[in-house]
Amino acid sequence: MSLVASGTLWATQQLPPWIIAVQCLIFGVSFATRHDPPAFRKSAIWLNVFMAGITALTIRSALDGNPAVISLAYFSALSQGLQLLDARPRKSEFVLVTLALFQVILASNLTDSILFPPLLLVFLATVTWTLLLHTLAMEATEAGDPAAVDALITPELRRMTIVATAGCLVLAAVLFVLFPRLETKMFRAGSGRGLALSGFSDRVALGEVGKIRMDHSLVLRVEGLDDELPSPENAYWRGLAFDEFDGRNWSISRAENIATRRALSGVGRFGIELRPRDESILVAQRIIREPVTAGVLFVPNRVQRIEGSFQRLERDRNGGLYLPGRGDERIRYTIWASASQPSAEMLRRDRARPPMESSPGGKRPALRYLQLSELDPRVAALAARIVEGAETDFDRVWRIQQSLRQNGRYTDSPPELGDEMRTPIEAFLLGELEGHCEYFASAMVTLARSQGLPSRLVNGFAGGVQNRLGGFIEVTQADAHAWVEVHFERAGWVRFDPTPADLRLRANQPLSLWAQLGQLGSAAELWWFRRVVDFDSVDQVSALRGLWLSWTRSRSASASSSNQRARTRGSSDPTTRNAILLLSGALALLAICVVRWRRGRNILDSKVPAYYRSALGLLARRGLVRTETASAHDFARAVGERLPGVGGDAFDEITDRYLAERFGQAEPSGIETQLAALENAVNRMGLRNQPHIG
Amino acid sequence: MRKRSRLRPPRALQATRAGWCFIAIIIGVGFAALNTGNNLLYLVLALMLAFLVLSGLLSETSLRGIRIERSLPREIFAASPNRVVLCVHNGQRRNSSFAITIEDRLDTASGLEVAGRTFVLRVGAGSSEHRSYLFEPARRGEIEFDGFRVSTRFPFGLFVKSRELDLPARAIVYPAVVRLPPGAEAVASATTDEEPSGASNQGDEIAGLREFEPGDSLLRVHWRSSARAGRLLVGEREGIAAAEFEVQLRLPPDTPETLVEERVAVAASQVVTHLELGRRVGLRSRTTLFAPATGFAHRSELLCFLARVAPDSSEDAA
Repeated sequence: MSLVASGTLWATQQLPPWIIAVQCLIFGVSFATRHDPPAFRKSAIWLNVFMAGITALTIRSALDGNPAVISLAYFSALSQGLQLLDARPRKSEFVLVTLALFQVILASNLTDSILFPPLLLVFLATVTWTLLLHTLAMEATEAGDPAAVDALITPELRRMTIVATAGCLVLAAVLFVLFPRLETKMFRAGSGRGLALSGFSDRVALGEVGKIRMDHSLVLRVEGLDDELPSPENAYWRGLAFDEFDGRNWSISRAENIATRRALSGVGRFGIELRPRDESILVAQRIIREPVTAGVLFVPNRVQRIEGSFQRLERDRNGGLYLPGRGDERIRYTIWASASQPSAEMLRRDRARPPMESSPGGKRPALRYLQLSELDPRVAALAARIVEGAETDFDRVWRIQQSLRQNGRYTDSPPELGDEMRTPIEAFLLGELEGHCEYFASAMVTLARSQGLPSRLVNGFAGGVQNRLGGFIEVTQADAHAWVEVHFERAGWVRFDPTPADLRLRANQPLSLWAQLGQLGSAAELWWFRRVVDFDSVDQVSALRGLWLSWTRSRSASASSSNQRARTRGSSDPTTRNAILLLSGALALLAICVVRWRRGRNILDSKVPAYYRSALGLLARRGLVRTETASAHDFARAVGERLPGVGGDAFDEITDRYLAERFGQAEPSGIETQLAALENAVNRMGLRNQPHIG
Repeated sequence: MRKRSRLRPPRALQATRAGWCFIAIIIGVGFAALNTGNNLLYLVLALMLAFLVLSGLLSETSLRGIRIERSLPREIFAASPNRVVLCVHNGQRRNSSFAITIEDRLDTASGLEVAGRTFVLRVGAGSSEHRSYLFEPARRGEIEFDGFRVSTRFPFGLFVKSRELDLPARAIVYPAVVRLPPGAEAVASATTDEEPSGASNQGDEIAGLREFEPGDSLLRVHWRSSARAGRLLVGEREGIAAAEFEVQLRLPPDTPETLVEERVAVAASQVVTHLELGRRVGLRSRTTLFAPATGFAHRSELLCFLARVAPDSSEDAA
């Protein structure tokens, strides 16, 4: 139990390795010396000294600025170790149980890990077993017979523990669904989460995306609500767009009297409209985002509506979306976005012009999307050479994109670019065109702006890998990407991606066995997050509604004809189908286990010869039942006392023959005479209602 | 009593210290869950509440099928331990009962009092266990057993759940039997106004043999016959060989209570001692006369009278 409780804290990855090592050492010492504990384990002085040390460490941790939850985790982990070491008499196991429970509670506040549910399950089973035994031992000790408990550790008690744990889980699941979901936030301390973050902020140094791509931590999980997922080539989730570039750093420009971010009207729970509805077809995606530093939300291009369990949403000058104060949380939201990009024909008829934006003097074109830092004149010449002969703005943008795609070489670890004389982007454009997405995107913005095409750099994620088990796309930090948006007068901001796609996309790479196992874990984690961690009042209502609907449906189905039933089943949603399949599978598995167990028992029973079983049956009908703990000889002796004379002697012989046969010393042979004698004796004696013996 | 049993709830629940701690933790986790909206805390809270419910269900299965039969000793004497045997039966077909504490209770003028307590660690499904306790009543007289309070801390020690089982029974507590001063078997006690009506004579003739019964003195066991029969036999000295002895009991109305009890105890002790010595014993008070006789029925008659006797009644009757 203690080990499992500690395991839940280890799964949070918040304990330093030395504490884990100390815990392991204590587990080892307390187990190895459990029969003959050394003196220090019984010394109150030593144990108090250790306790003082633990208290000092906890205070020190809090003073160091660790969140209170983490300091308490240190305390509970080490105190539990101390309690395990304590070998003094009259120690209460309840303290140990309380500390273990405390650790589980702390762990629940520190992790969303998929390791938590199995550990919680094991903890539940172990704590049930521990408390059962402890209570019985305490009662037996008070009654003056502590050794009696040993005789109670039987399959019956184990079965009771398993049934109790299962019942507890079922009941807990029901209670979990029914609890009112409130979030009063009366006291808001640091939760201890927000420690796993990916790097997105409103100022990015060139080359930073390359570093992010070295990390394979998960950032997004994307599900298609209509079971349609974008192909990796067309899967983009934009985070922040940058308009200001000094040749080395990208940032979001600031303007006097204009707020950097503005709150959008609407409440997330009811949906927030991000742009006016148009005629285009919408696709819906449900996205689960891991903690991200600035609380950025990643959405596909041309998103129209967003819905999620949040109150406020903010948008910056470049269309970046933020959840204020929620950067340290895993967030689930649903977006509706245009399914397609504007066509090339449409864009050819359009013109690339800066967007108009409100300013103190009225609406003005946002010229910041055309601004360039001082550049080597060869860059502008290069741009002019690329777009030479192009008739429309779209064709110019297209040529720049294609030129970079065709002539560039993608690498995640580009050579050191730039020096005192040249900025990295000049070095890139005038050099080998070797780098990662951020260089290509920056290069395209530079070339486009030099040609008067309003553009900006966008950081986000692209590609991802489809998880076939879970039916969603996994996007990790390795899918971090940068691309370009160019503004057209009518079509608005249109995405262009100048990065060669061949090596960038992870989806093109075959999955190893390990990666497939990882996908399985990720699918389980998504299920855990959606069904438990992120279960909110909306889910609560829909779960209850689903139950109601399924009940009413089953009632109407039973009343209607078989054809109608077939139609109803055919139209049931995949989740319900999967749940039914899963439940059926679990029931089938349970049935197989029960059948195998019973067969195992029958095999054991079959070792007992028929005549001995008959004799036992005869005696049992008269109330003489052999208990599980009685040996055959003991039982024969007890029967002899109750059934003196011929009957007892006959049963003695039957028992001897049975034992001789059972243990291989004699061949099976008839023993009808003795059986008949026993039957006669039993019938004569009238032993009905005698207590069980043996 | 019937009205009281109707008013009793079917089960009583009392939290132990560990139970109160557990409830406090539940409140804390519930508050934290409501405050943070953290679903994992909701999950832990749900598990803890389910644990409580489970505790209630399992303790119920421990108590549900319990049936108890009480076997009182044939004679109960005040101020001495009397073994009361309880047969605890679990009537359930599948579930065993664990950690059952049984309190046998007396219905007295001042309310219910515990007569004795015993414990059973496990009673298997459909089986019985025998347990006993020593009942040491303080006073002579009639007593009324009310029933049992059966309780358990099973399964987790968080609560003590109990139920009441009615099993009323009446019994008579005989006066305390005290050690008589040396030679008192032969000489009347001055304090009780008892006078012997004959000299001590145990008699040599055995009128007959009977089975040993609880309460018989070991002095009366006829060892030779017992050895032959393979069971304990007691020699009956009824008849001409036995001497007679009359106990006289005088309890004037103004006798202090302690003195009354002392005299009654000495009289009872005389009755028991002389009967065990095989004498024919009679008893005389101001109102009642028991002719000298022997045997268990006579002994019971005398002791019952002594268990109920009171100064007022004897004098009024006179």
